[in-house]
Amino acid sequence: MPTLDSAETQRAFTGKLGAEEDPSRGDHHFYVFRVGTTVVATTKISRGSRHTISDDLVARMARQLGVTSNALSQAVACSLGKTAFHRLLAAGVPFKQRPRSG
Amino acid sequence: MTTREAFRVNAQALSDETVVSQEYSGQSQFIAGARKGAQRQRVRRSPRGQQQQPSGQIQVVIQQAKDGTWIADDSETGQFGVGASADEAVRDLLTTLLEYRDVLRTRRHSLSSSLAGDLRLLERRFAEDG
Repeated sequence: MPTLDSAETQRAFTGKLGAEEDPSRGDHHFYVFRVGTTVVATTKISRGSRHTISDDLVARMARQLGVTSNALSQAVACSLGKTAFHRLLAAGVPFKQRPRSG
Repeated sequence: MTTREAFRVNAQALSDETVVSQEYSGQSQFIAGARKGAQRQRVRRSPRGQQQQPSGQIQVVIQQAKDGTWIADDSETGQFGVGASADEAVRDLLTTLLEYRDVLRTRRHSLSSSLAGDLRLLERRFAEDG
């Protein structure tokens, strides 16, 4: 199960993967992923000093993005490019696909 | 993961990191002070014995990871909180949910249907929190 370095992940999200970082100054960095103009997924990383994101949390982040942990890890590590990653985002099943009312 | 417990956390009147109450195995306990007069709520049961989620409550699953940290999951939005204790993880989750709501609000008109559903859910949950 992959782990990720928080600083590398933040750089990858806003750099090569094209996410926008929400400018609010809360306890967490939120990253917003768009396909075209539509926001399709978000994920977050805790603020604070550089740290290792555990495999448990990588799995949750990946699930929020609708990709596998391995795909997320590969995207951060550059072995999966932006185009391929965005194709996964577009095709991926978001965290939950249950009908909602309201 | 070594421990898995389901709590219901009252999200009503949540602000200033106020975590109101949790209910587990029929017993409620405060995990942080309620600053805005929020009260404990009992989990209602339907005639068939199934639990119903009262308005403003979140079902939270708390697990302890192999490294000893605690993770609190909101199964409806996929958001999670992390902490050195279960209470800390729940507090982090609730902070996360408020931040997540605000992230979605500022992009309200460009959300996918799934994320728009999350926003509607969070606005219902935190209806008293601006």
